Amino acid sequence: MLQNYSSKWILGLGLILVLSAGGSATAQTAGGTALPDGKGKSEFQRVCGTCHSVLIATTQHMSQEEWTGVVNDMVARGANGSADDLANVVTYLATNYGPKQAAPAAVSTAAGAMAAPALQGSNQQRPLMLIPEQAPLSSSELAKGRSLVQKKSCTTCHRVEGQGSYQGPNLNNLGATRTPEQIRASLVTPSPQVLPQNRKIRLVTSDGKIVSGKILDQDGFTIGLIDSSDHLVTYQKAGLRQFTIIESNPMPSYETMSAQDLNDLVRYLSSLREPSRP
Amino acid sequence: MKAHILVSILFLATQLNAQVTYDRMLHADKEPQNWLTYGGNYASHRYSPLTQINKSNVADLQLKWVRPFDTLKKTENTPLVVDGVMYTGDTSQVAAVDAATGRVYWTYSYTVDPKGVFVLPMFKGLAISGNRLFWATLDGHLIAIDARDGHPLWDKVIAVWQKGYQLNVAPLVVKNKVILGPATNEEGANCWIAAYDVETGDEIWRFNTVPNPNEANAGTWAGDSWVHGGAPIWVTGTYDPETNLTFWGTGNPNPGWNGDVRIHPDKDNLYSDAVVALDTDTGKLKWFYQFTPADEFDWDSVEVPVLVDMPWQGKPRKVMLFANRNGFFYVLDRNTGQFLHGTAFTKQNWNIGFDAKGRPMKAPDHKATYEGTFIEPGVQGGTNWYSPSYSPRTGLFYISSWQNYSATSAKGDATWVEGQRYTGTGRRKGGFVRPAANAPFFKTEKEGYGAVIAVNPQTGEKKWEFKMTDFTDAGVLTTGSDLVFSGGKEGNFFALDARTGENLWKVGLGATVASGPMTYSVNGRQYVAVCGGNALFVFGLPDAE
Repeated sequence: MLQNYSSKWILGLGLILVLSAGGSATAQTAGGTALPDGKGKSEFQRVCGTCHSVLIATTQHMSQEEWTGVVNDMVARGANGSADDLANVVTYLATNYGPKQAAPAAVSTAAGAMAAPALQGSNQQRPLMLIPEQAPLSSSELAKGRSLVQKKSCTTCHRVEGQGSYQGPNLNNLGATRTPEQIRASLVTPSPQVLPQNRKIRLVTSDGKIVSGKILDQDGFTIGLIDSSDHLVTYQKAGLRQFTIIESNPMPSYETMSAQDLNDLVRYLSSLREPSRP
Repeated sequence: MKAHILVSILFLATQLNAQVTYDRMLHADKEPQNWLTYGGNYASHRYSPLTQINKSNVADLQLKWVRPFDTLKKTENTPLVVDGVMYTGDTSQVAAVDAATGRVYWTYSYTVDPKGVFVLPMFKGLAISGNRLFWATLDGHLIAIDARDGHPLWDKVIAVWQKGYQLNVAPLVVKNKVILGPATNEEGANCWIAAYDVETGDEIWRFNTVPNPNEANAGTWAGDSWVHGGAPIWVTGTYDPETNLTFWGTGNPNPGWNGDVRIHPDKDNLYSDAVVALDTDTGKLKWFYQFTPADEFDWDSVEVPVLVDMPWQGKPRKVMLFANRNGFFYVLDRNTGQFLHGTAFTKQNWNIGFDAKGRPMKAPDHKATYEGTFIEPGVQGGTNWYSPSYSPRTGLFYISSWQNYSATSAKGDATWVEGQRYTGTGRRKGGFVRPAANAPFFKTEKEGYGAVIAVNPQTGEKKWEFKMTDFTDAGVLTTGSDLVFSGGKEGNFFALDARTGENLWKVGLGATVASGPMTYSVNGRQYVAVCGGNALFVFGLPDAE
């Protein structure tokens, strides 16, 4: 996830913080309050209700595009659902909690402009998003993009088109998970911190060996990571001299790139998609 | 000091060669800490040389961790373990977990097409090659997944579920090929075995389990009944590197319980209820043996063809051991397909002998009727898809079986409609199968019982039998310390003495055990894993031992 604390994310978090205070009280008394029926209701309750009261949404009125942004940010925060689930959540929200003046017909038009979800399969590290598909790259744009990725050593940390390191966020599906604006912002002004699922870890074993990698999981006893040799390994915390989870973002800024190169790189990165479900 | 350096170099080599190569799979027995294929090795012995858990300490086994699955009532998964990482899953998600703790490294979720109604929503397992996992989904996709981070590499539709197909097997990887075939759950969709390129998913070859009119043995179906002949693939095949042959059991012909349209007057319906030997490079048929010609009682031959080298009448012979749903245990020459012997391992009333070529001679009244025909074994058979095991130490073959089990099977009329079941079944009595072990059970022993049996493959004789009250769909595992692990519908998971059948340990898992147990070790500690109900349970010795 190149773009970490985006304005939309802050908006999303703000929604939770602002509304959870009043929302929880409302939820207690309004436990039986009926949400309007409609396509996506059950997915909305399941996907969103796992972490917060669904009533948070009911005072909001946003366009399909804005709801898409909120849902995308929630996915980045850990909301869990298939691409179909998420599409249905957006449909439900946009239909029932659309702009006050918007007619339902406008919603379906907007939906038509959205790209189909890239793949029904998913994993934790890869939020499912609804980013409009852009025009395909020409062969020269593709070549330019690939050469910029090589020149800027992106694959030292990231996987791009199935190549590169597992230590940073996998970019294979970036175009389906981040808008071009988000990608550009991440290149120019990387967030000072990374999302929890992208944190690195550094640990020292009891015999003094230093291990670094990307954290995949931890509980009170163990830490799981993919180490710098790309091995999936688990360490017992009790057997470590120390371990440090690194919250800061090692991503450098690429603001010194020429405007043209930056445009080309953003365009290329925006085109990255994992194989779509045939 | 030299030894120390050598160890370091070996360790380094292991680290660098973490990819699962063809060479590693060929010699899977040399790395017993891992479980690299569905059947434990290419010969599907489901035998592990590990000995830390043995007869003297098996009673101390304790639960180490559990992984519940989200979607299934029961799972048939046999996990893979590669260098401390376990790959497991269900029909909607696969996961990489730490094999010692069960903690998750990554998950990859996949929503099976919700419009599909899959009568047997099962997931048996994954295959691995290099750093790629291969997952055959219920709704017909073959997906390659990066084993390090769970990202998909390619996704191909290899069978269209709307036509009555599903994918149910763990694929078999040999060199650059992912080999598998679809099943049809009585929907009359003709099945196949095919090889797909590990890099791209492109089909390399295909063998039709019901021949097209221009192919050999097409004339073994009456009229145009071949069009909806079925012959599904439900279980993973085996591979012999010496001959480069891959062996696969095939399922029943459709309509399953009424052969009127397909067998009259004397058609065998090839290659249903058979085992086929295919060249792994080309898919060309080398030989086949049909266990149940012209079947009308759903006796799939989707059991595992187990490859063994053993003395046969005083000379070493390369054979295949095959415990069939029709109640017989077979020994075939795996290079030629020659029938060596067939012995019933449960009560049976259909076979009155074999002719000189090994073709079964059927009892004259063994025919489907509208009134109902009494059959032994019943429709679920003497055994089924669950894996048997062969121990090279004891020389015995271990089968999960349904003993003394019978049914009255009546045929009905059958009309084929795409995507619908094409069974030709009528009313059936007996043969009742309870779906899970969390409900009461009332049968008496004379109505049949489940058992693990140990068979001497050289004679077909039963060496011992471990009786359960309920039936069993559990696979069998044997180990280098002469232990047998298995379970059954009762929900028990247990260890037996491989030489005597004596029960040495058991635990109740609360739901049917319908998977093949497997064993592995991490950091020198041995574990045994099995699925019970919708969870994976992992056992090991207490830390102090």
